[in-house]
Amino acid sequence: MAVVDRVVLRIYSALVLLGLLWAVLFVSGTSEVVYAASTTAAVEATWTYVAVVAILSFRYLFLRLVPRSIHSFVKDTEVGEIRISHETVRELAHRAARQVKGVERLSARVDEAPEGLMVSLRVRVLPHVDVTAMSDQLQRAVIGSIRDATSLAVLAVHVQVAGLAPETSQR
Amino acid sequence: MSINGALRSEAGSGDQGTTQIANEVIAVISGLAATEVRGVADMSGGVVGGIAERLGKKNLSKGVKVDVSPDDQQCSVDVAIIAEYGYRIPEVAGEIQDSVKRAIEGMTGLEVTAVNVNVLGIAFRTDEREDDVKERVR
Repeated sequence: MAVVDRVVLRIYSALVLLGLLWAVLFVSGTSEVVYAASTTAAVEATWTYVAVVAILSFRYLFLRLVPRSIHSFVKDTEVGEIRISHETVRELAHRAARQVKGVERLSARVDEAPEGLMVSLRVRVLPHVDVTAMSDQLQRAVIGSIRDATSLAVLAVHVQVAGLAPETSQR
Repeated sequence: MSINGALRSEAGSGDQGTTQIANEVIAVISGLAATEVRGVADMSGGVVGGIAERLGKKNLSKGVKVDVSPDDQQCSVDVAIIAEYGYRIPEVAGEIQDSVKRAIEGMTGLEVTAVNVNVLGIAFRTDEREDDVKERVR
């Protein structure tokens, strides 16, 4: 998410700069700009520009005001709480699963059920791979990795084989 | 007297006057203590902190939130970190709690009631990632 925000912020800055430049040229009366601004296309473009900038402005104005609740697994200790975010666990699961042979592409999701932590994997597998054995390996790798790194117990690892990688993709 | 509204906490008062420590100071102490722990890749300061960092401003209190009790004798600290891959997170977090608590109590004399550790992400070292790719290519 942070990466997206960074890119959008950059675009936003560029847009504002462009608008300013345009405004300066218009005010200073550069004839081409004044002429171009009088066409109907320019009116449409201006409204689009205003709308985009306004939306982005709101986004960044309220970005921090909305308290983003970060879902975490909480562990109480005498000296305070340890909260491990779902994102951390997801990244761990993703990495562990990626290292299993036969996985071509995958996405991981972490859910917290009342009974414990659940991981859902969606994988696209390479051809000529024993899917059952691979799934088994995936489950073991993910559970082991999460247990080693966070000492959280994993209730279940759901593996969904979403498809086969096309034959041509040589690895 | 106060620097910025709620920015101060009293660490001790004697006959010769009072000592006040800004929250920012406690935050920097916590930040430094936490980053020194093995297994902590970085502090997590969010989007705004990330932008400030890119502008070249090293923010030592990044990812730290300090709460000082109304009587200025106790404080609790929230630290947000990015863990490094390969370490046991509960152990790392425990070490952070100890070292932050020790640092604050040693340097400011405030009593630390709680150090809450938020692990917001995990960092994989880049060279390791390259190894990964090679492994998959093989």
